Amino acid sequence: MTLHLLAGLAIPLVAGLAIVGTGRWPNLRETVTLVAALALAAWAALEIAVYDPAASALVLAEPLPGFALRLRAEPLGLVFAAVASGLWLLNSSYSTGYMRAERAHHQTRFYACFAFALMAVMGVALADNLLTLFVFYEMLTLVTYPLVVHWQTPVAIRGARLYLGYLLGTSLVPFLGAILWSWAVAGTVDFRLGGILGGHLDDGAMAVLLGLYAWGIGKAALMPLHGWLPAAMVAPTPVSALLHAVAVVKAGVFSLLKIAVYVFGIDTLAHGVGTWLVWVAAASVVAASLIALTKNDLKARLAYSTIAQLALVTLAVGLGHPLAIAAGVLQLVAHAWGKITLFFGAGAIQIAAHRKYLSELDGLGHAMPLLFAALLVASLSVAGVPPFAGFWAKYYLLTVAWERQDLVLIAVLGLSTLLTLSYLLPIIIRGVFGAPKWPYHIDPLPVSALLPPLVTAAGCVALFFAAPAILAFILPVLEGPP
Amino acid sequence: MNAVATLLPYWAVASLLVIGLYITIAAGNLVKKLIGLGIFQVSVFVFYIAIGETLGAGPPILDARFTRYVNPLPSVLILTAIVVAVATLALGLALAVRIREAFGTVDEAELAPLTDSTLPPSPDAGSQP
Amino acid sequence: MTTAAILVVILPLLTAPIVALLPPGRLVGTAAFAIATATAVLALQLLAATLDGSVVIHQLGGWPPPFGIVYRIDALSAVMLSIVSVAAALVAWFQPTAIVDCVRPTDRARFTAAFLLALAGLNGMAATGDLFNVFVFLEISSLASYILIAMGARQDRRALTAAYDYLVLGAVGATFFVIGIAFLYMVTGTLNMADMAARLPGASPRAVEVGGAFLLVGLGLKVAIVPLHRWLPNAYAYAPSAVSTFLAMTATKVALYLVIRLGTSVFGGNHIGGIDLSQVLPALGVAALLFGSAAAIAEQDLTRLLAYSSVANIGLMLIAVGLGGADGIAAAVANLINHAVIKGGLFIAAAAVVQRFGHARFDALAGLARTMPLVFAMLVLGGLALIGVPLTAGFVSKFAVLEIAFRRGEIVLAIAILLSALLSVVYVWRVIEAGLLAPAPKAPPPPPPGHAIFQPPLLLLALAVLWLGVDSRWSLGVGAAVARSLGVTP
Repeated sequence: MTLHLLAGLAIPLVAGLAIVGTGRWPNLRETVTLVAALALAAWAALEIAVYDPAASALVLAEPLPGFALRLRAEPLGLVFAAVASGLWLLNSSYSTGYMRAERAHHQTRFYACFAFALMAVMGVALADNLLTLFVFYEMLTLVTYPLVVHWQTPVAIRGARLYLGYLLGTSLVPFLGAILWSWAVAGTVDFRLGGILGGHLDDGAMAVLLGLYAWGIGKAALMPLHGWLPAAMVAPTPVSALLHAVAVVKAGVFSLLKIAVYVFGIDTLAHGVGTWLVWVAAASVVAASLIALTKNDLKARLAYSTIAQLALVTLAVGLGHPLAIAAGVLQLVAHAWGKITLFFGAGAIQIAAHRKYLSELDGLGHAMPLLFAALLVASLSVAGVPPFAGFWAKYYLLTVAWERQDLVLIAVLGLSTLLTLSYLLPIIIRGVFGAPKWPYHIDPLPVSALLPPLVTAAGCVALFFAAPAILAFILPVLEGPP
Repeated sequence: MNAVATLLPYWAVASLLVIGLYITIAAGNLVKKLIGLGIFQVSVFVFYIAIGETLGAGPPILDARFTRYVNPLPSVLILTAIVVAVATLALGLALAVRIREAFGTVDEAELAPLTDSTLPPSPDAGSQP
Repeated sequence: MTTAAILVVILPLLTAPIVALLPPGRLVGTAAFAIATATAVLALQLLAATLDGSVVIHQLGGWPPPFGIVYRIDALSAVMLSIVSVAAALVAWFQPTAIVDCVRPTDRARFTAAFLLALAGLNGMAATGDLFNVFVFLEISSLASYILIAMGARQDRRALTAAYDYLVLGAVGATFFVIGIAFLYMVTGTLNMADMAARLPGASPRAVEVGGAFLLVGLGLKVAIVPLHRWLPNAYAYAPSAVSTFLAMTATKVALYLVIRLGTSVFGGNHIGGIDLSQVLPALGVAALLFGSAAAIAEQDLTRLLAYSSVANIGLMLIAVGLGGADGIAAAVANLINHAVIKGGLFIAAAAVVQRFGHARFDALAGLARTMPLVFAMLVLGGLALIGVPLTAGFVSKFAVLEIAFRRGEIVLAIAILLSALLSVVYVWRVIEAGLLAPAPKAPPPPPPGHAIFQPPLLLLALAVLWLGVDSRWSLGVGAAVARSLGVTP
């Protein structure tokens, strides 16, 4: 029996309900969150430990004949589940400090929706066919809406509208259309190693279908459908961290990876179907990086950085090479840890020093040395400098580009690293070397908000050494069907 | 000549139908619209009676004088339809009276601004206890 | 069982005059609820008996067809009877409370009688096997609906003009329908639908074509196919909330039932007269889907918004009927069931809002998430279902139609259906934003007495929306059974 998969959905679901029930007692409510996050992380670790490729799928329901809601543990999904659940734990601890410091209203709704969002993420991670993926993908959009609109100011309402409009719009039209099209030609929506589409469509139609998926999965924020991501920055910082690092965008690129591997098949993508996507993604990388350079608002800068870094995963999908897919997975993991550190940092600066613009950071590094050290590690990791986690993805992508003798692609990847450094390092440079223009009033930072960025920064280092283990774990997926 | 005589009722039906429908659509007065509706429905009554009629046939009673009978069923059917039409007309006129009480007019052009969907609700004074 | 076939019609029909004579008081509402519930039980029994493809026939006065009138209940009729009667029972449950503000105590007995007559008329249309009988019942239900709608005048005098407009258009539609019947009778010499189906192939094609066109236009007015929908938004918006709930769940659907009935069992081959439904209905359906959704966006009143959304949903059903075939009919029937459940829940939620705030314009929705959580939850759930979010009944409806469109290569149709979801996101989200984000009024009026009466039907329909969304075996299974019993080839 594979009922244990259900725990991945049940833990956050029960936690969400318990949070609603214990809303009147904030300490109890937040204990529930932390305990659930711990349990979920433990569950994910256990699933990886006992992973059995031969295990059967778990059918939850069959909403339509031939379209079951089905879960199955497979390497890519487990890696994603582990990342998301691990970061939820840290994020919950950070949220407690942040939300109390900000004296936020509606905190029960906040924590409950957070838990429900994690349930949807687990569903996306474990989905065994396109319909299941779609169901949990939509659920994730809907339960994160109250989080984005949290402050309920006119700006927040407008941002949340964009968020919802982009994500529901892309998923209900191109994504659902692509799923139905895939089903119409392949006769199934199941995920199978080696893909289900091979031989059913000619390359031209296949490229169009890939486009429907690439833009239909709006959460992957491929330009020009990226507008929701900066707009959603109106949310409280832990939510931004959730959107960027843990759940939403990661669910987007993860869905793309999963569809590349299990619907198209790496081999099918390899002979030219994805070439156009490589260039669209490359353009997205460069354009988003350049926009990031112009942003003074820290969170907006990080948002465009996310768009650029995610486009690298899309680029990997377009390359359709086992090494490139490996790079995509590693990029997903590494970027999660790096970006959440940066968001934790931005949020910590906001609650402690009440600053949100780059130009206000001068000299702040001396007041918050630990935090800025963590930010430095994360920046280097996101840029792809060894010995930090982000290095491997860039390295493998470069290897593939080298193998293809594609000088333009090599140049783009190099440029991406340089641009990343030039939009992230100024945060640290100003903080450490800038002369303070006016005296700071710095509130003490709660430990619960300081510890998480330090832990995730340490994670960025640890993951550099753990990457081979991850690769070994997902190797069967990359090798394709025997 | 015979063909014209056979088709005459149908010409009448078509004319009444078009006249009635035109009045129903074009008249601005709610009562006149109902009159148009009445004419429109009468055309159907004539139509039903006409399709049951057979030239030179007698009433459908067993009698040595008649060998061919008109079809009685359409006449029976249309009796029902007449009852329905009378009820509809009565209800329509009653509504027109109530509209006159509530809005002070039965003219469509004058009613249009008073019944605009963006106006806030205003109860009908006449139906208050 | 054959008695049940006639009881579902004459039980409400014959008890209506008695209810009208009852003294004002509690008894009226209780009696109506008991009668509607009994009718619903009978209808569900008929459904259980006919799903295997068998047909329940009751000959009126023992006269065999084609001389006598028969009531012929097959799976399609039984589905319609069940939808109508269950809707009536739900509405009868809360209507005594919901009409407190708009119907004078002395009028309540007659109001309730009109409600029972509407139920009898709608059931009669679904039960009878005689085409002229259909017309009679159509008029019974219509006349009763005009009266019921006009009763909204105590809250909003525009109910009078809405009822008048519906009366004129409804009478024109019914007269078109009866002209169509005359043409068919002229060439077949029968009014019995089964008999007519047998004789139509040999009949003069010109008369059949003309008659079919009259029938379709007449029904089009009753179904509210765009552009014949003008009566619907006002009628739903200004009628007493209990009446709009009942009409939204049933009235247009019974007319659509007749389109299916004529296209499958009378003319056959998805034709009505010379009109090929598979050519006409998908295009009309797309127009309705896009127009209705777009019009809903501009509305400032929850009930009108829901009314326009109904216009759009009818479009989806028209597409399913137009696609035809066993799967098309199955999808259409599943749509009928799902939509009745979704819209029923939404309109009851709106009724609860009207009961408390006196109207359902958007300013009444402010802060609904706090003041009326259950009602707001229903609005969110129903709204998501209208968009077609997975795990709600609306997803099954939309997906079933999309699946057929894709399988048949009707890509333009599929894209139009997908795009309509975008429009529905906009109008649904206006409701959700109003309820969730707008600050609640400082001192909202307290819930009026008996307000809790809305809760059981709301809970029931909310659960049904979820259940029909998670497990479509029942709804699509019923649809497939209907298609089988109609003998539609796949």
